[in-house]
Amino acid sequence: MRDDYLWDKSGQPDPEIERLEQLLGNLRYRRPAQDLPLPERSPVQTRRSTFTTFLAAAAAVLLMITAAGFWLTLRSNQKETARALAAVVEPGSLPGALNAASISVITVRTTREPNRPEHNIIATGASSPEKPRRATVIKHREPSVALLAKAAPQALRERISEDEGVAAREQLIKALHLTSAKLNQVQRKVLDNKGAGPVS
Amino acid sequence: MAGQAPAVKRMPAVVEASPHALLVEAARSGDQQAFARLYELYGPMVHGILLARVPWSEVDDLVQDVFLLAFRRLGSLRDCAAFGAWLAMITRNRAMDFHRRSRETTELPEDLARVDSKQAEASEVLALIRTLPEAYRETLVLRLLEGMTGPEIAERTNLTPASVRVNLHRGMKMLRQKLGGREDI
Repeated sequence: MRDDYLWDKSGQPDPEIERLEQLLGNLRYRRPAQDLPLPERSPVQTRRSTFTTFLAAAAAVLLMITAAGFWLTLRSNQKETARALAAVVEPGSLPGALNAASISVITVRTTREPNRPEHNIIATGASSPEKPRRATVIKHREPSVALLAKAAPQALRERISEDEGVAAREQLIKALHLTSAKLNQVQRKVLDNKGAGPVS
Repeated sequence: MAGQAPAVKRMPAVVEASPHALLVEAARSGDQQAFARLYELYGPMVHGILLARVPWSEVDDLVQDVFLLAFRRLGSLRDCAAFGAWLAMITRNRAMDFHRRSRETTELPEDLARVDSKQAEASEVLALIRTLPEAYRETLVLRLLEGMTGPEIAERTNLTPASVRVNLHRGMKMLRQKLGGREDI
């Protein structure tokens, strides 16, 4: 009978339980719901918006990585062409004080003139910091960069591949820096978004 | 009796949508009135669970914290029928978090700021209840302090009525023993 009162307040009341109820009832929670400052946005909306933000951030990062990869590939091709070109030009074969080792190629372009095969590769650059030269014509009969590399001596080819390795490593480090910076930026944006919104 | 393990059997998943589950669903989609109703329904449970763990003076603020946290995380609740158990878990975690953060501070006696002797006496009984095993102390606080009945406790906490009944019975027996040693209460 007394257990019923403890269970659902039915049956004969237990005086000790009643006394405890009265005593502890002083500490009962009586705060009205109006006191609760709820945010305006619903939890589902917030969740959806967080998801959209993450999706946008992921898409931005992917786009940046693709663009960086494309740019680095283009740059790498350009450098290879320049190195191969520099490797086959022996010191003393160039006019004046121009030295193959000090050539700093800025751009390389090929021309396809059947009548003048000896002038089909033109390197534009500076010979040295002291004597800058622009548009130096380098004589060569083969327009293909691959063939130019083949024509280089063994030692030079090894140097080319070593340089390529160093360049590839540098490119990889740059790409990683770029990606890391972008990820940091995205993370900051997401955190800002969380902080600015009414709910997180 | 002290060696007996408290009963903590949970209710099986509810297939039909209960009125509380409908309120939870409405609150999830931004209905603040529905959430206010949930606050009224579950406020005593949250208050009781906190009171069984943290000082009385801190509980009111923590109740608000728990409900705000629950509102923010409501989107992640998969089963609306399990709202009570989910909210109880958030409440217990919040209480643990409170103790973790205030480890370095020393709690002042609760009757220091109060002159009301009834409240001081109530605090003493509450301190005795806090010495009981967790499942007993939570159930007893909800029953004796918050005024909830056994079936209400079972419904809110998602425990089976049988578990709540066992916990009430054993907890009350232990409390009587402890009160027997205190003639002043």
